[in-house]
Amino acid sequence: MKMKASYLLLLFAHSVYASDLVTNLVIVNDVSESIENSMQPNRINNLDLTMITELTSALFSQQLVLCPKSLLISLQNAIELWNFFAIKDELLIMQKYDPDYFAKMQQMNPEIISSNDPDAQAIDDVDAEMRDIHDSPYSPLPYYPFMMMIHNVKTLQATYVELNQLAQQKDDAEKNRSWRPYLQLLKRILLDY
Amino acid sequence: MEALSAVVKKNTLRLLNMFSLYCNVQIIKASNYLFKEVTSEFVLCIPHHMQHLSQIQLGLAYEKLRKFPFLVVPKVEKQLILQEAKKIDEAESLGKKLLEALQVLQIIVQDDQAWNQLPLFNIFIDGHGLYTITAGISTTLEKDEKTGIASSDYLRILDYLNNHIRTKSLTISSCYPSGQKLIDSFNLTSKWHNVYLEKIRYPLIMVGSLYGPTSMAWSKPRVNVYEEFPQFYTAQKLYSPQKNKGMTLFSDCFAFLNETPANFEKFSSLFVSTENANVDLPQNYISIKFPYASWFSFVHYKDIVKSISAIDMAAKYRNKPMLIADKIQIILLGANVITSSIVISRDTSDEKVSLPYILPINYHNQNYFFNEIALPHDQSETVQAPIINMFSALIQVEEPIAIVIKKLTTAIKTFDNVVIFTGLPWEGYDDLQTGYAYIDHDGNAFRAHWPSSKWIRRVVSEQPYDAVALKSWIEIIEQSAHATSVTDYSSVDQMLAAKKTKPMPEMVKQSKLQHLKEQQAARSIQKTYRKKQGNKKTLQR
Repeated sequence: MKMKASYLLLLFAHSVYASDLVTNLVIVNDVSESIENSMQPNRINNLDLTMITELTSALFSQQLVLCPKSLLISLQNAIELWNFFAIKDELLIMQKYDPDYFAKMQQMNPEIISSNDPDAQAIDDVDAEMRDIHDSPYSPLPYYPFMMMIHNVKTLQATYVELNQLAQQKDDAEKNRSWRPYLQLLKRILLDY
Repeated sequence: MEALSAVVKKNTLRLLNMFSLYCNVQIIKASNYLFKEVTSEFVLCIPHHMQHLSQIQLGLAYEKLRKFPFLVVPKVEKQLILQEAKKIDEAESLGKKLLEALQVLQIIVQDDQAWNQLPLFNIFIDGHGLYTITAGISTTLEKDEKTGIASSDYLRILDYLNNHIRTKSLTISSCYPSGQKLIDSFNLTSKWHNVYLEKIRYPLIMVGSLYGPTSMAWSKPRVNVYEEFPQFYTAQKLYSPQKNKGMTLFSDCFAFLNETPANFEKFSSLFVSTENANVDLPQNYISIKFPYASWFSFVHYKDIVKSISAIDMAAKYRNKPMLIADKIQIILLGANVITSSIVISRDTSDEKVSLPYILPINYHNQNYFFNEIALPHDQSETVQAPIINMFSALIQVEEPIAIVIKKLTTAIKTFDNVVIFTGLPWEGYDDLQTGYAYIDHDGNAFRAHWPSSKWIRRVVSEQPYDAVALKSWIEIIEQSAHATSVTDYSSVDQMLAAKKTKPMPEMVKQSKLQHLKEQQAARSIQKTYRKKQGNKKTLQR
């Protein structure tokens, strides 16, 4: 046991010596369960979204990441999905359904640009792209939460009502900051269906 | 808000995850990552602040690699990549592919001096845990034809990080990287001696070491989404400077590991919030295998965790009751035989009063025997409620664990000969079963059980059981708890008929022989060294 203890000290001593030379690496794995599930739209599983979210967390916090291409592809598809389905042209939805709040956002962040065309054509594009993603046999999962919700409009309405009630309980500042984007998003989905 | 249905919560969680994801990606896009194609399966993502570093400074051979066109990969290629990923998973060859990627990234050095110039690495492997510790990475032992040593993809990766990369620490986050998975992955045959684990020179940290799925506390909303809503803060990143714990967790993890010495206490605390400890702890419990050690040590969280060890039973609490204080939320069960009476105290004025979770941690022998557990503040009239409260962390465990409580007393009633089990085969059922059995005051036995893969049910129906069979089962569990050998649970009914003894598997035999050979070789080297030293001293004199 004494031998092992001395090794331990040696290891820490090395760490001290090279403490300014530490590189952190995140390796994110990916499993085909995500792919498997994506081929069965009725199977709902949160695992896949979890791994994509893990990857974004690592990238977001500026880590050096080694990950399978398939996971990056899933992330790419998730972005496409959002670009088309949820928030097109920099918060298009918010602009359309809550122009006051959108104006406030613009004041806070000049990078948010108004869209000149928040109309039905954009929505049609979204739907076309959605169908495209949906039809692909190996499409990754990100679409399914929305597909499920679309098929359960009543549930979605209930979600909206509950969230809205909760938003009313919060003070104005928090409501504006935290709840509005989600409410708008839900409102938009409800209106479309 | 209590009226919110589970379905609504689930949908909202997904919606929030997606929205957060979108917001994060917008920021990632703006941060100018450099994506390099390492192999046909793996990509290295280099953040902007590291792109000016040379290969030697970064510690990875990345300069000659082709750029990967993230965000503009053509649709056809995307489909091929996903098809390929599916094949890799079916063949469980992710480990081999990862090893190939690491080999491409390795910087070959000529001597020790050059090696010491390379940076140390803190590595965090993040993934699902299915049948193996990290899904897709095989732990099946295969014998090397040249060396005769049994190894697996998983062990080869750990070896590679041991010998070819200057690894400072390795953290593995996964669902339940513990219990039988450790035994299988490292071919563990003894708690104090293991050839594979003893070779590893870096700290090996398992996040999610205990029962149940690991809750990815840093990246997804936890159970009480309306109270916690970490994803809201994530989303706010787009709109405001507020920070979410989740988004900084990787940086915080590495910062604590880079302290000298590494601050494992603070590192561990990142995965558990004290307010939610009884929810987070069983899922995110951390165990650490220190350099050259053969065992995993479970991190001790002060004030909220009480550990019951074999030493406690043999010395400190010998013939004395052990009092579990009000604050204790987790009892770590290290001892197999708990001879003293365990008295669990609870503050009944607290509206949220709940019993602590009991978590068995002795992965070498998962048979436990309690003489007595007393719950003086518990008003339960049935055995079901306290048992389900204390042992519900064993949900979804599909490996055999059996616990006997000779006497369980609440404020109202006493129950004798209680057995709690999980992951056991029962005749007539295809799935492994989880449940409990007991004998009431009139000598009648009852049992209740359900598939181990299902979440524990709050109300389960009890059925009459054979009291004689239950007593003999209790005897077997008690004997196994005392013994160093582990009960063979190939079938509960068969086990009751006759306890079988199983010969040592060939693979284990070979591994032990190999270790003996290595020991002999090491001794012979030591002898030669001592001889040389002796000769030198003689010459000096």
